[in-house]
Amino acid sequence: MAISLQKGGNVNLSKEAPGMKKMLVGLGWDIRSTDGDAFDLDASAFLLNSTGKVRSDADFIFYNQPKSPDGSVVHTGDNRTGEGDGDDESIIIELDKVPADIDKVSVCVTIHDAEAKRQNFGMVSSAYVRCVDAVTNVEVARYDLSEDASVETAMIFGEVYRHAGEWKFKAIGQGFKGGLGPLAKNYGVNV
Amino acid sequence: MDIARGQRIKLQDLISTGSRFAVDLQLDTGGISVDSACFGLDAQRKLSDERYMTFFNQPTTPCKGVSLDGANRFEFDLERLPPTIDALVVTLAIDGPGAMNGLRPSALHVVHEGVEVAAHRFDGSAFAAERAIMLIELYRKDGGWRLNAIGQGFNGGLDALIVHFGGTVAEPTPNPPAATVPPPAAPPPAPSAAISLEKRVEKEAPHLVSLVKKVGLSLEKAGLSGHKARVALCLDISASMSRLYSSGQMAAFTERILALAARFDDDGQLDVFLFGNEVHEPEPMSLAGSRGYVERLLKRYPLEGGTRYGVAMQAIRRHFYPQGGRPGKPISDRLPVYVMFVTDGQTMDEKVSEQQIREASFEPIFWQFMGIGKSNKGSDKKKGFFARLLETDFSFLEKLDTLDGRYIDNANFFSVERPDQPSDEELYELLLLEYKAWLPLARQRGLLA
Repeated sequence: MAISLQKGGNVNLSKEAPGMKKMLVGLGWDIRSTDGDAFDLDASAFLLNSTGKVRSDADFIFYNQPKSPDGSVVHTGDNRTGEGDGDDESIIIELDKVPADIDKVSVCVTIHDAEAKRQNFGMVSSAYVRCVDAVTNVEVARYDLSEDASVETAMIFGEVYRHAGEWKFKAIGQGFKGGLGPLAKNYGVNV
Repeated sequence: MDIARGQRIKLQDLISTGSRFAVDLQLDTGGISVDSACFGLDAQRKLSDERYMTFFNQPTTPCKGVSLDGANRFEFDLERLPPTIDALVVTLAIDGPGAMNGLRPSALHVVHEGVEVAAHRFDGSAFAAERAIMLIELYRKDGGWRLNAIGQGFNGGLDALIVHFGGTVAEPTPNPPAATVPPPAAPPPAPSAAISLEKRVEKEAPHLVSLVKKVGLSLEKAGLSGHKARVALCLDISASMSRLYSSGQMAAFTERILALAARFDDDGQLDVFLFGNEVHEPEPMSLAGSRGYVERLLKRYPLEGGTRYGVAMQAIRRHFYPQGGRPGKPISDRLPVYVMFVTDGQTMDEKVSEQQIREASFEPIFWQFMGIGKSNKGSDKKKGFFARLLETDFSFLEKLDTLDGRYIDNANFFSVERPDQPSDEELYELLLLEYKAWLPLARQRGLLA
């Protein structure tokens, strides 16, 4: 039974899923049921060092750069509408392969063209992030963001981070002003 | 505080004491006619109990937890709501033409103890072709209530909104059933857009209310509920029609066609054409101007000598398709045109009329001819010469009905002895009989998009 997280809550992945080598961070939301432009949400991941910044632009994983140089973090592709069963987008993290100087992988979702389309997360329903053992397909933890999503157009859904030699996941659910660009800049990416 | 579209807040942050407050809508619709409604939904966000739709026809819920005060103010007392009501959605729907992108700066105010505690401002720039929108949702969460400014809607208007909430769009029930238990299995008859039409009829032409309802039933029987078309009425004003007009029979008949137009037509207006020797296009007949319409027409357009179908048909075709089409190429349109063509005799321009109906078969226009008078169709040849003379010869209209050389069969003909002879039900059935067969054919042959 997966652990259901509230905003700010965390789970010890090494304890809950000992032996998990490859983790899928699945992200989902409901397809727009009303008329108007579809919500095009993009997942991205930032490999961050102890100062909370990327080592280089190569640590910014998104639709145009779907793989970290070492192959430890992979973006599986863009789903343009949120249609279909299961996760809409996912990030696969090979925990053992994550370089030692990376402390944290931040998993974010941004709304593409939010300003022009006048969309925000408060208009998207049933957004969630979940951690799944990619080998056994067992869900370890899940965080349902719908109540925490409001007028943001970019959101940090969760963080996978090292703590005392173990991997943990934290439900963040925090908005970030602006879109993917400002978010990336904040993490030290040259945009 | 200002509530932005998409924003979620705890209601207790706005309403510190009690469970009573009001939502005031200050609308600047730019002339669009808009109705507000509040949907009380279950945990699945469905309208499982239609008594919890609060709108002009049902201004309060059985528990009095939601009441509509006037047209644009909802009073809430959340503590009165049964636990089965999990969410309340305040909506706007357009009645008549227009879309939400036409909204001018408007606001929804949350008022507590006479003081405005929050405002959600919105205007047409957030919308496109939506005809119904959900403004805010109040919902239960963790033992309290929250508010989300949804700001999204449906191009399909109130009907689409009702479908979204799990209702089926059916004929409205004038008095919602007073059942205390929510109707199971079968979806409850949710109020439909037809309600807004009926409200309009009630307001503008109360004498037509029951007629419009009958049209609704006939359309349902013909499988055409919700069907949209433009409607035109073409009336013979040749001198021989004199008695039919002076007796009021034509006025009554015209109202029966207006009722059809009110159901079919987006603008609830009936385009009227008059013909004798010449053709005239008077002011369209509206619901509000329906009383005395025909009498006023005849003062302006006295009866004429001569009967020329052809010129009238040409005028109608030009009215709807001023550009015309290329010869032999179908014109495609979103809405069909239903022409009710009424005459009491033979035309003088048979060749022109035949040509017109052939050319018009490439257009999304359906021609329903009605002859008034005793038809001699199947007449007993043994009848005396004078008896036969008194009968009307509709052989040309019969020919038009089955004319060759057309792209598709675009006409039907029936005759009545008097225009008030068929009952309302019979008349509407006659009017839809061939039309409902023409529609799929017109669609298939590319006349209707």
